[in-house]
Parts: sequence; structure tokens; C-alpha cells
Amino acid sequence: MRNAALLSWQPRLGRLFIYATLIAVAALYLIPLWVVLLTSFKTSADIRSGNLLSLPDVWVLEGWIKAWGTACTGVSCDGIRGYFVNSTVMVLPAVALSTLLGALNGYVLSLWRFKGSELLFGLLLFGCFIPFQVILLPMAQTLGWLGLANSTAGLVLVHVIYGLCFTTLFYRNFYQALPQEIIKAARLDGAGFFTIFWRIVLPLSGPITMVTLIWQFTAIWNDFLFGVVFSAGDNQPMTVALNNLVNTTAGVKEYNVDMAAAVLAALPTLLVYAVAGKYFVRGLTAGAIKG
Amino acid sequence: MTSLSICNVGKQYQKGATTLENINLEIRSGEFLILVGPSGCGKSTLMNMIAGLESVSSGQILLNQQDITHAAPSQRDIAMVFQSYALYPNMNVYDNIAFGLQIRKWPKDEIDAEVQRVAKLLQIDHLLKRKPAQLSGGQQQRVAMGRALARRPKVYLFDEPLSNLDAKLRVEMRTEVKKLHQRLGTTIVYVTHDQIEAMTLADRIAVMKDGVIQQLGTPQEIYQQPNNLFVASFIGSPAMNFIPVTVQHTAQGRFVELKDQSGTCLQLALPAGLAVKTDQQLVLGLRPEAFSEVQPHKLSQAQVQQGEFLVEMTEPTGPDTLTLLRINGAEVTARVAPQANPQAGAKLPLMLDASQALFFDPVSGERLRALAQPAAA
Ligand SMILES: Nc1ncnc2c1ncn2[C@@H]1O[C@H](COP(=O)(O)OP(=O)(O)OP(=O)(O)O)[C@@H](O)[C@H]1O
Ligand SMILES: [Mg+2]
Repeated sequence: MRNAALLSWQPRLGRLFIYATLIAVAALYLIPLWVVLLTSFKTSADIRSGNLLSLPDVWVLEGWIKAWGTACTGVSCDGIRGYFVNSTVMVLPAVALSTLLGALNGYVLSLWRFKGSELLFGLLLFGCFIPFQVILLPMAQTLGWLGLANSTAGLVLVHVIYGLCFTTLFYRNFYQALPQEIIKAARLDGAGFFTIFWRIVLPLSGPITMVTLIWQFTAIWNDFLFGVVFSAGDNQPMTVALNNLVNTTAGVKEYNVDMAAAVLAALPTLLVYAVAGKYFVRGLTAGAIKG
Repeated sequence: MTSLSICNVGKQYQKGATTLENINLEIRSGEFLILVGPSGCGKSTLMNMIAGLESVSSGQILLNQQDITHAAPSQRDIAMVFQSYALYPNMNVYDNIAFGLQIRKWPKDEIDAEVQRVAKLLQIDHLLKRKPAQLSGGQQQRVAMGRALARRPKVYLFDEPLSNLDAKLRVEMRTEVKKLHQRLGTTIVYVTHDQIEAMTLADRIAVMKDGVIQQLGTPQEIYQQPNNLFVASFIGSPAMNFIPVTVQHTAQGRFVELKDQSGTCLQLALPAGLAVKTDQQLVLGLRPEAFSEVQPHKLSQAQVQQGEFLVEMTEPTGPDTLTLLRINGAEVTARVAPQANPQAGAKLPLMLDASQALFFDPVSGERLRALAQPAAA
């Protein structure tokens, strides 16, 4: 009797301990978000007088409205609205193109091997480990030659090229698990390179496409360095505008505006994680063919 | 009429490493040809070359006298069934079968009729809506065959199509494949590891080793007159017994001796016309069924004799008990009726029928053939 009770208690105690630890750690991690969110809803006076962790005296949207529409980012004072659009216009084609090209690369490198394809893949992989800073100058030069300096198209190009290493890696490893015989069967059925890609390979790529889209979206949306180097003025992305907004101080620092702008800048990636996060984990662990 | 000729075909994946050498095969219209050989001997490579999935390093492949050596796979009118079935996982059974027809731009109603026909033939018409992942191995197998049948190609290639199935289903599908072949009269090249599959299905068997065809012949020819030690040992289960012997000679003629551990010694006359010298070492090949329990009515036949042998071990299989003996130092399996009650460690009277005895050169492994039989005096 007593033994049985003990036995059933011990694992429960263990559970309790695990959950308590996890909750504590999660809370610790969430404190910055908590502070950012609360501060964004406070008035400037409230911020100066109050505690960092305390709830606002009155909940106001002042900071949000100003950050969105009228805050100064350098010389202009139109808020971050326009830059939000800039980022969107830049991110969507960059993500779509790098993902599609990565899928095509992966398809060739794993299912249409040729002499030297392993070497090529190795070199592409090497691209993942090149630090951003190293390519800034040559890239600026190249964009200049192409006449794309300081344009959204140029920034898209940079992100596509840099993202290709990762997207190719994802798709190539995923396709590696596809049996070569499926491709052989399709060739005997008369299908060509692109038919096989569109009709058979791509429809099987759901899980890895989710992973790649999330990965690329987050990376490109959050990028600051390429944005600050390869774009100027009205073409700058959100992250650069946020930096400008925070650093443009005319008089008193408006922390509520800064915080609201920061949340706005982070919102799309947060949203993507909230909606599609589970596909990310699932996609990373999934094979192409369910057993 | 569909004939497939493979002329002097060779394959080198890398320079210097020959995977296939001088393959010559004539496959007649409606013939069921089976390729057997150990793993890595180049069976799949040859199939892929016939299908056009792998380039041909040398030689020619002709389909109905037309050179297709370098034609694209889609232009050859050849279908293939793979060991892994290679069904398209994203498509349902219907689309798997229809895919090749859609690519070839068949009209919709004809595609529909063809899919229905094939599905009926293979009894998978109730599965058309399912995805491959929702099918059992045997059903996937049928769909893979259906996909091959749908285009009505000139030649079918099967690369170990049954080896992923469990033993019972494999036997069932084997019968089904045979029936299908008899009904449709299609030309089939079929790869297998399984020599029972080879024996039961084939019109002719090609036995391969290290990229070279060792022998091409009907199942009976391959079984009874193997060209060399490799073919003799590869076909047949349990394998043929190989007994080292030395040619001896008396006034009556040349013979070899079979000595048991217990002192039994049988003398086996060499067939006339066998080009061997006295004292030459040979390998005698005897199938397990050459040794059996004593059947008195057969003892009067030529080349049949009896003796007592020491049993080393027994392996009952049901219809026969495989009985291990030791003759001239070599392990020998005898196929004995269980009624004879062989016991390990005891002596057992056995009958030896040497009418199917074969002799091999121990160095080259080639079978020694009797030259023109001298007319009976
Ligand atoms: N793409 C390739 N590149 C280089 N060598 C290869 C390639 N494909 C096969 N080989 C080699 O060719 C030889 C024959 O291979 P193949 O697949 O034809 O054998 P197999 O007879 O079908 O064997 P199994 O019974 O195991 O299927 C093997 O030694 C193999 O390593
Ligand atoms: Mg093979």
C-alpha cells in the first residue's frame, strides 16, 4: 500500500519540479516583452514616475499612434508606416524567390546528380558560413554595376543570393530522402525535368516549404545590416527606420513611442511564429514520404 | 511482334571499373526472360540501360530492329516496375496509373477507360481513390504493375518486384505475374534474387556474375547442365554438392571413388568421352536428390548403386529430410524421405543415382563435357 502510494507520488513530484522550473524560466524570458508592451501603453509622465514592471495608470494608444504615423525618423516625421510597407514589398518577393530557387537547386542537387554536383553543393553550403560583413563591399560594387544600388530590387537580390545557401540546404536534404526510383518512374512515364518538379516533387515539399518560408521571412524581415547598407532614404526597411526613430531625439526621449514601434516591427515575425510555428518543428522532423 | 536485342553492351560507371561486360541477349517476342545473380552483379544497371535511365558505354540496344541505344526513356515504349514500387506519394491510385497517359496527352475519356481496364485486370478498382500510403504492400505492388500496364508498352522490365513482400504474398503474386504474362503474352525482362522465382516464371534464365552472363538457357538446362561451378551452385536449393575426386583407372575403364568416413567406398564410372587424364583432380557435382533412401525397383537401373553412409546431421523440411554426409572430406546433402528415419551419428543405407552427375575442372570451374559419344560397340 504505502509503497504504491510512494511510487505514484515520486513521478508526480518530479513533474511538479519540472513544470515549476519551466514556468520560472519562461517568465524570465517574457519579462522584456512584458516591459515593452506595458511601456508602449503608458503616457510619458507615467513612464518617468512609475516602476518598469507596473501596469499603466491609464491605458493610452498615444505611443502607438505616434509611432505609426507621426514619429520622426531622421528628417521626415511620418512615423514608420511607410517603412512597414517598404519591408513588406521587399520581403515578399525575396522570400518567394529564394524559396523557389532553393527548391529547384535542391531538386537538381539531390535528384539529378551530375559530375561535380556534390562539390557545387559543398560550395553553396560554404555560403551559409560567410559572415554578412565580408560581402558588404563586393556586393555594393556589384549592385552599382547592375544599377540596383539603393533600390528595393537591389535589396531583394542581396537577400535572395544570401538566402539561397540556406534554402538550398533545406530542400536538398529533404529531397535526399525521396527515392530516386520515383524520378525514374516518372521519366519512364514520359515526364520531363519541370513536369516532375511541378507535378511530383513540389507537391511533396509542404513540410520543408513551411520551414523555409518561416526561416526566410524571419531572417529577411529582421535583417538590419543589409538594409542599412544597401538602401537609402525612402527605400529603407522597417528595422532601419526603427533604429532611426529610436536615435532621433528631439528633447525628451519618448519610450512609449520607441516601444510601440519596436512591437510593430516585430509583429509580423511574431505572427508568423504564432500561426505557423508548429509547422516549423513538424517540417524539420518530417520526411518527404509518410511511412 | 516485339523483340529486344542487347548486343555487346558494356557499362563503366568510372574509367577502369567495368560493371557490365559484353552482354548479349536476344529476347523474343512474348518471352519471359529472367536475370539472376548475386547482389552487385549489375542486374539493375542492365535494366536501367534498357530503360534508358542509364547511359550505355558500349554496344547497342535494339527494339524491333530499331536502335534505341541513346533514345530518351520516354521514347522507348518500355515500362518498368521497381522494387520500391516508386508510386507517386502525392497522387491517388487513379492518378498514379493515369499520369503517364496524361503526359502523353491521351484524351480524357480514353485515359479513364484505360485506368478502369487496368484496375479491373489487377483487382484494384475499389482502391482508385486511395493514396499509396493507405495501401498494403501487395496493393502497392499491384498499382505499380498497373502503372506499367496502362501504357501498353512493348517491353516490361521488372526489377525485383516481389522482394519487399512477405513470403506468402510473394508466392501469390508470383502466380499472378505468371498468369498475367500468359494472358497478355507480353515481353518481360525480370530481375530476381530468388532462384525459385526464376525457375517457376522464366522461359529462359540468364545467370550473371560480376557483370558477365555466365549462362543463358531454359530453367531445365540451367538446372541440369550448368556451364560452370558458379551457375551450378547458384541455382538449386539446397545447393548442388561438390565432391573432390581423383580420376583412377583399371582395365574396365576410368572411374572415381566416393569414400565415406565409415569406410564405405563407391566407385563411379566416368562417362565415356570425358577428356580427362588418370590422376587428374576433378570436382564431382551431384544434386541432393541424387542421394536418396534405397528404392529397390530402381537399383536395377544403370548408374544406380547403394551403400551405407554415416549421417552427420539431419534437417527435416517436411516432405524430405535433408541429411548431411561427408564424402571425400566434403559436406554432402542428401534428400531422404523421412520414412527412412535418418539419425545423426548412425549409419544409413542410401542409394546413389549418378545419371545426372556432372564433372567440373577445379581450376577454371568449367563443366567438362563428354566429347562425341563413341558408338556403342
Ligand atoms: N550510379 C553508380 N555509380 C557508380 N557505380 C554504380 C552506380 N550504380 C551502381 N553501381 C555499381 O555497379 C555495380 C552493379 O550495381 P547494380 O545495382 O546493377 O547491382 P544489382 O545486380 O542490381 O544488385 P542488387 O541485386 O543488390 O540490386 C555495383 O558494384 C554498384 O556498386
Ligand atoms: Mg538491383
